[in-house]
Amino acid sequence: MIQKKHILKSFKPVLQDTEQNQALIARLMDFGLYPGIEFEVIKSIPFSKVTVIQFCQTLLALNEQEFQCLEI
Amino acid sequence: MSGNINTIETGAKMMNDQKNFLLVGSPNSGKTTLYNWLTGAKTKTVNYPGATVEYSIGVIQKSLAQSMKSQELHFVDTPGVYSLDAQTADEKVTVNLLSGYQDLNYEAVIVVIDATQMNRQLLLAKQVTESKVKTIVVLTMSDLIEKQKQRINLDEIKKFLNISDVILFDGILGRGLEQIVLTLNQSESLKNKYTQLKLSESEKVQELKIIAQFLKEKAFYENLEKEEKKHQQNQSQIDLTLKIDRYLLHPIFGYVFFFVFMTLFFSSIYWMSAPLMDLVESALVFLADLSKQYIPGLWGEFVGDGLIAAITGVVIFIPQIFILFLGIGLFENSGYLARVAALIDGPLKKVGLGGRSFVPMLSGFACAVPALMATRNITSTKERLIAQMVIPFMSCSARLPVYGLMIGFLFKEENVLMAGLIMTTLYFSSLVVGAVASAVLSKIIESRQTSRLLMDLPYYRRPRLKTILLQSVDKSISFVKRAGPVIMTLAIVLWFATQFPKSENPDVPVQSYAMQVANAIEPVFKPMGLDGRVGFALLASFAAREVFVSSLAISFNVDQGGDEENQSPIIDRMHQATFADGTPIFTLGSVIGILIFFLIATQCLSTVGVLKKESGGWKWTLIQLFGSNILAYSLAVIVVQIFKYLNL
Repeated sequence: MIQKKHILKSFKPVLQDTEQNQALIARLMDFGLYPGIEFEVIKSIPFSKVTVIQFCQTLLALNEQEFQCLEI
Repeated sequence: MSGNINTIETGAKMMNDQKNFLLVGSPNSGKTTLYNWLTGAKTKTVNYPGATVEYSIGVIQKSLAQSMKSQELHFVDTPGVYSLDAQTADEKVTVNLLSGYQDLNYEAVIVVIDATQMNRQLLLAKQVTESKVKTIVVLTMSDLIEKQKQRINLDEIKKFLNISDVILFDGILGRGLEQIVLTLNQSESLKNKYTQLKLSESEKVQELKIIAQFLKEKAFYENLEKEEKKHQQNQSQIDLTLKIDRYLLHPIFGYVFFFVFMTLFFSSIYWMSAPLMDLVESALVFLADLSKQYIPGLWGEFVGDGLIAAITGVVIFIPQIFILFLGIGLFENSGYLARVAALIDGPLKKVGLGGRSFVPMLSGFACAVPALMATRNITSTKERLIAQMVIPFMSCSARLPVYGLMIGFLFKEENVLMAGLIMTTLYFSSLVVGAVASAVLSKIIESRQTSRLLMDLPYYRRPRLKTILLQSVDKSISFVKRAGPVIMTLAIVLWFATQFPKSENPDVPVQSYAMQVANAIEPVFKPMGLDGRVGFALLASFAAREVFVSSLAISFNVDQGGDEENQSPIIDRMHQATFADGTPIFTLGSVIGILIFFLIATQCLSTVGVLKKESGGWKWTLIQLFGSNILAYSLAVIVVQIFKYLNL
């Protein structure tokens, strides 16, 4: 089982559209993610290209681009 | 669906000059649970994000107001928001309400926070307090906090948020409710002027860091022993969820579990309800016999062959409807739906949808109307429109009586397992039809927006069986209430149409009005292998799909004499039904044709109305309506003709 602890360094723009990038980063922060926070990769579902992460008491499912947005 | 759902336009006008409170909170924070406690409403609460997409208005329940000597307080349950920077259509509803859309006045905002998720939900509370509106914070899940041997330092939270009221609330036992009502009664009537403060990225990061620091240092009473226990309890709750997810989110077995759960769910709709359906049917056939025996003449025939036959056509399917709602309720309450969304995000993306579309699509198996509204939770406009276009293909509860009757005709009682599998195939087929339609639409609709998943996975919780059972009963009753009047009206009209005009000379038969209409429309339905009477029932089903069954019951009851020998249930009548030349009407081919038609065709007028509203106009609504009906008819004809060619 994948279980790796990471520290979020910063958010990386991954979408071509600047506005969409800003909206995505804002939403990631609304979920409680911010540079400096520690999170753990709990699960990776290759067929769906989804990664499940855990931080504090939150479990979050992210698609490929959303996960790439987290610079570790 | 609860009856007090409102649109901003209608609701706001009614509410001014009242003591109104807005309930604002993140999805799954327990906001709707508090609303239900305050107002006595039975609005559905579920364990996934995006359940409330329109706002509800309720007044304090009488017993609570009397016991607390409270004023008449009004509450607005708003769609969940993660922050005040609205990104989806449902979040905009909340922000619009806060901004005083159409001069909606409110005394205060009740920010509902899940106490176990303060690390992120305190940000929302801060945003609300800083937007210059009177704020009362309610911390829910205090039952979980107690279990974790935690004690929240309410004074520190008040200081942190710079407000005077922070109240603990236990959503299971309702503890804290009286204090909330007391506080609301004491709140001064202020003119709130909402001023939204837009936080920059760096400001938001700063706020989150301050919250994290606050939670670490001040939010809880210091007690090392208790802190130790708290940590252990928290960990065990998380561990249980992670253990279950090891299987349910497994890269391979996760899909196997999903398929097994869905198959069990769909097939149980048929086989679990079979004994109950037999019981209901026997009781109603007995009642029909009795009424024909004791009510003389035409009235007896009307009650027995018309009224009770029509009622039977619907009531008999209540056990199936009940099991359908029960299954959906269990899925919604357990927290599993969010996992499924994650599992199938990738595959759904290939056809232009995403994991977030799955939740409304599954709701579509109950009813398309709330499912269409639930699409507001989807961020991408293109994905939202595609989801709206395919939701009417999901086999809603109104289709169930038709499926049940046709499967019953094909298998009767001797093969319940096979019948259950066919039912499952029909439900999976509606997903396939939806996927194909979605793939086509994704090629047509252009958009530069990217699909978003970003899904909160709630901890698993044991579904509250009693609540789900009560909700399923409520929904089954409302199913009868909704379809009942239409069915009864059409039953009366249809019965008279099949009875009149009467021939003055018994030796000279006269065609009834219904038969005349049936003959006129027969050429349209002949290619589907159906006669005019079935065609008539099919046309009547555009009023409500369930009418198809009751219309068939009346047509074949009356047209075949309605005498003592023909006291058989509708399925036997279908076996006996023939065209004028003596060939049977209901064959394997024609029954499959009927199933295909009902699987694909959009017939429900409420769905059309909501689709128009949610998609923003008539263009896509009419494409869906006509496209689905033309496709349904054409496919049914093709299949029937193939079966005919093969002599099946």
